[in-house]
Amino acid sequence: MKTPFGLSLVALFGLALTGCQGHQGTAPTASQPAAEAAPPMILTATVPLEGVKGRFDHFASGKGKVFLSGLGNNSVEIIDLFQGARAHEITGIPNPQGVAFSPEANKLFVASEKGKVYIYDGESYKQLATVDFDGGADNLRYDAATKRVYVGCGDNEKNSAIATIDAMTNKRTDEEFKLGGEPESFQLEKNGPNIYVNVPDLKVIKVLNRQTKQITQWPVTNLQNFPMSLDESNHRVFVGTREPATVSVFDTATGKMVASLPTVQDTDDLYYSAEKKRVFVPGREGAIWVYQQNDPDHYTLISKIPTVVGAGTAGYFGRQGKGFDRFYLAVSATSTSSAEVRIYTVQDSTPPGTPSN
Amino acid sequence: MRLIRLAYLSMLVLLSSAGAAAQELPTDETAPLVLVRIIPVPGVVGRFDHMAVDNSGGRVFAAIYGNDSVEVIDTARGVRIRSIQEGFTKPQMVTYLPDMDRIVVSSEGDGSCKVFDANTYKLLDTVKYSDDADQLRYDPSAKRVYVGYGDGDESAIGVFDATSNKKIGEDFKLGAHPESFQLEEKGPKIFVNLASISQIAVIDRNARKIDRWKLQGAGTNFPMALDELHRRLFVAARKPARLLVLDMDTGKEIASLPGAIDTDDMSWDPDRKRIYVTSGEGYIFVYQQIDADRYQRIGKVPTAIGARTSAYTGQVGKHNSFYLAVPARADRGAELWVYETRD
Repeated sequence: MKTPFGLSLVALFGLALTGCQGHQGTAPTASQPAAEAAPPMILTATVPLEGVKGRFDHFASGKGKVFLSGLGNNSVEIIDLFQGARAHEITGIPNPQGVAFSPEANKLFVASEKGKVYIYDGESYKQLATVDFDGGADNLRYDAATKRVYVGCGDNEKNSAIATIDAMTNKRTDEEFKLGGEPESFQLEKNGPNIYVNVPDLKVIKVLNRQTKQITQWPVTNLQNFPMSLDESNHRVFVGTREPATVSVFDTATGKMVASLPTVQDTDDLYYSAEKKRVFVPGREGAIWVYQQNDPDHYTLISKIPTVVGAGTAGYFGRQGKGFDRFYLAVSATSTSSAEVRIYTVQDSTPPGTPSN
Repeated sequence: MRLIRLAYLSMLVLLSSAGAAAQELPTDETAPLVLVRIIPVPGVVGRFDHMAVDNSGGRVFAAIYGNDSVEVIDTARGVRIRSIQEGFTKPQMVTYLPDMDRIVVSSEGDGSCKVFDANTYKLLDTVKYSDDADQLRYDPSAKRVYVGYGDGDESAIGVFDATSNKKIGEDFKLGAHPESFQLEEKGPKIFVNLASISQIAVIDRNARKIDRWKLQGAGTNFPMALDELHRRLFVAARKPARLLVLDMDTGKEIASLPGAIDTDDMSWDPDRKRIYVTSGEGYIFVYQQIDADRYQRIGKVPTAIGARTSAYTGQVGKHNSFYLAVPARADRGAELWVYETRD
């Protein structure tokens, strides 16, 4: 059985040590996980992806499928959520990174590091068009309200931008925000005009106003800010930083950092669940760290779930289908095992009326 | 040094508690289920759904939701003998009709129930429902097949005659998709899990009356089993994960115990007075009925991640076999694991 032994021995050892420190009488500190009585997510399924080589980059979801870019395999893997199996594989995309799905246009968008966004039919996965982006295309976000795909693109001072594609016509629009540095993760506000963009090279978060076209920025003190997630109802932005490894929380009204907690090393994805008031942070160190949002300014690390070294790519899209609440983690092939997507069942924060037996 | 030794021991404990490992660990002599055979089901990808057992012929029929097939496994020889692919779209369940040697296969995609001769595997008939045909139960005394189907307002339990394959009477409208349901053998009732609204519908087949019990404390109830002798209804809730024991006459909650996570099937073993619950987290939870009102979890048998569906129908040949469907994992194909139940 490879699965459990494929679990990061390092992470397990780390947990074991943590346990032992407890036995040695070390007082628990605030950063140690609380009692693991109710783990925040449980591994309940795996989907093998035989033959997929190399590193994964990002997930997207739509129409009962999850889409996963195989950066090292030049492919996009398409998994049917309910069948629990790979439904299709799109090959021949050089170094795919971001993926986005438009239900309105029934199209899949795939960003290539090599300078194009590839557009596919959402049913047949036939290639419909490509759109060029100087300096490569990375993260993609879809805005259902305007039917536009926002593209993080560029690799230098001049060409770095957030640009847009009209999902219906497959053409670039004139909506474009020059950034002066390569964008990493960004998020679109649904109830407001702003786009928040991590620009680690400039040590800032840029705020783009889609109505006024004004660009402002907030400095970051924790550097290498890559992943990002939004909590719109509490006006918070969560940013994963790598130097040092933190989850940093910003107030969108003021741009001030209101909280910063140590997190797993080498993050590239980060998710917030408004329903559960939890932040999920997978890291390539080989763990998913989970935080409880006590209030908009206070967070507690509640769990470190051991995974596999290198597994930094995850997808979380809230409830789907018959109310299933799943968290997807991409695990790359090793010398002894093939790639797979691990599917965790996300648990409720506070089980209602649970007896203690 | 002590620290390192402790760390090592802790690591061993952690590793041995990692569910999927256990199949290769030494047998626990007190385990209520013992893995005795692994039957490969090659070439099958995706999620298994519900299975049926042909006790006299020693066959297991498995609906493979993710593979649009029904796999037929000869448990005595330990081989897959047939893969039926008759245009299923997301097949969800198979039921076996022992007196007619037929199987019925329900599909989510087109709402069909396809009836096959279980000897020749020839398609005999198709009974069509509006959408999402899911759980099936056979009542051999009346030769009727009950079908849970539909979503939202369309949701109902339909009935068709197993000899003519014609629908009978009006369907029992439920208002939410029926998950597992059980037919009372010595009475007119049907108990139906309505997982999306955390209710149990209680249908009186004679009076055509439907009562509803709202579950308290735990819901999203998928699997169900019935102990008519002690008038108990067992339900595995997913949110939170609990085993609920209800009085089948009043709906009163008799007991609530910690449950397995991501459950999809449960079975009642009247001989050993045990409940087996299988779960995606990779365990079979085994509960002992001490008496009608008292229950105790006596086993947490590690299996494999994603092994949610199972079937147990008592003695098959000389064996008390419990069947567990294990979907394909990285580097390992799909399998049917066969356990023996043990005192």
